[in-house]
Amino acid sequence: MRELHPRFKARSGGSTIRWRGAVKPNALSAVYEIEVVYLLGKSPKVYVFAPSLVPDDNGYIPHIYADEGDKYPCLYTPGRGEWTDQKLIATTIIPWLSLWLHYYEVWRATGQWLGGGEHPVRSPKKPE
Amino acid sequence: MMPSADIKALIVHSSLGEPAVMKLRSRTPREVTERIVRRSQSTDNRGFGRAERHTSSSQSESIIEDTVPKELVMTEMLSLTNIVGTNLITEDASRMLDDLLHRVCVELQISPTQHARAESSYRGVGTHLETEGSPFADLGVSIYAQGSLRLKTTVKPLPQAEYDLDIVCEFSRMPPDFGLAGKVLDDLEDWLREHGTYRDMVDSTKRNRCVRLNYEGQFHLDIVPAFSDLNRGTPCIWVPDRPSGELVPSNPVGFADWFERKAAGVLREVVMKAMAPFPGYEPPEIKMPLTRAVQLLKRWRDVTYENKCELAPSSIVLTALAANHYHGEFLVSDALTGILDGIMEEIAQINGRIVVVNEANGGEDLSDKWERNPEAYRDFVSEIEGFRKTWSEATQQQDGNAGFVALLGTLFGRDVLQKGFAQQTQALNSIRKDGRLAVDRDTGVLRGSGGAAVVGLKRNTFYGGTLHRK
Repeated sequence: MRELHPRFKARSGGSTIRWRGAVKPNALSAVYEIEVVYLLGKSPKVYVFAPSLVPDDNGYIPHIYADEGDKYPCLYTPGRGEWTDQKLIATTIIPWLSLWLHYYEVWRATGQWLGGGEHPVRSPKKPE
Repeated sequence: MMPSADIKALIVHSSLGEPAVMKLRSRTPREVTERIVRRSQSTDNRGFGRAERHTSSSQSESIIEDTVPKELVMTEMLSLTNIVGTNLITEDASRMLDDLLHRVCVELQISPTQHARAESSYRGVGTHLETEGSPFADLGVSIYAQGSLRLKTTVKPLPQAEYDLDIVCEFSRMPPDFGLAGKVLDDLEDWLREHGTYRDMVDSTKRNRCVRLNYEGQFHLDIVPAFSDLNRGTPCIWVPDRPSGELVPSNPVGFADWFERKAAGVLREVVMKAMAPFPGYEPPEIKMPLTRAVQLLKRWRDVTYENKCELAPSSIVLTALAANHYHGEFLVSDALTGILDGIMEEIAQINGRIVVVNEANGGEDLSDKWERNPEAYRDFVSEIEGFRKTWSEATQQQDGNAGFVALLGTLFGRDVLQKGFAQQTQALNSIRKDGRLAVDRDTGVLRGSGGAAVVGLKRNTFYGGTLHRK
């Protein structure tokens, strides 16, 4: 990780590793402070905490897991081999987050999510 | 900041103005720019041709242009700066902004299809005017575009109205029974009504200088019947002025030529290189920066004056002001900044109101409306200050894409900004699809793949999308 994303700082405790860093997806975007949390045996999650992600008027953000107070971008579709624990977080999760943040900024600017993606089959009330 | 010697030399030897040279210089190592300056100074026109051009106006001007040494300097500089070539637009704020501005202008201007239709339409009018029985049949008809259609600065009027396209129908001979100017206009209208097609298209309002044909849902053609000015010589013409009953001097082709020379203050190759597409990235249509700046000024005018159009500055005034304050910037954004600064400086330094003259038409005061209506001038001064302020804010803000697009949207219209911005990312998507998108190791900026400082993006499909509970 240090080699591929030298500005990210790691901290580990127990079976969890956390990396903190900053990401700026395009030349006109904001700079986002992010944290990757990797609990061994689980899939990694990335949190964006400054500036915080802003939902639309319906309280909606595309491609986010929001679940028991936890909120993080949903960067890959499970069951497709996009992420496995054989893969490096540095070459998958971090770049995907940058890409997600680019599409997030474009969505905030235009109202359109242009990054593609899929929704889980069973989802609660869809927004208007 | 006082320009250093090498910058001064680059300004002299290149076709770029000071702001553009400063910008290029900041991206190029000093030893490189010094080398280029030394080369350009030593060549000193020996062995290079000096181009001479005579304008076609009655005052024959000869313009001596040192085009060849400038090309040398510019091509060398560009090939060595990181503005050129293989950067994705996301890496450079100026180019991202410029790409967006080109897209906005493309959205606003007349489409190639409509342009072709307009041309075929006015040629049809010309044919009709030469038909036997026409009062104009023996006068030697020559029909051509003037104004925004000729200058390529068309901008769709608000709200969703049709394009106003201006056409000149120039006759090389005067009719023997020429009386009042109004009669020429009426004769034109009458003869158009003789034709089955045009009968219902002729607009019933009597206009001061032209007859309007309505092409429903597409455009209006405002046709000016004009006469060649044999005294001042081609391309000068006389056009009818209904209120005074007289013919007045005009020179739309001369104006267009003057504008083209100003727009050519930077080489086309320089502009194309600056927006050089990343392989696989489809750029918008790139036009000369002055042309784009005029389109944006006109659009700003339309948006700002939507509810007070009697105060609005005319298109020709905005066009001439922009051309006067353009100094060869190769980025549209720099051109617009320079033009706004130039206008504001001119306003600050003048006693009374600024006067915008038509150099192609004997110094005609294009801005005489401000003489008759001082309130309109005061309003213009205040609005242009506001433009400059908002433009500054937009280009310097740090809040992200949404803030940036919103601010530009207040100037040029929200819908067209959002559309252009979305198009930009759609163009990036094809790079992503080809697997050639990557991120910078240090900053996370989206870049092209290849090179040591990047991490390539692997295939992914965003997921989730459940409702976020606040």
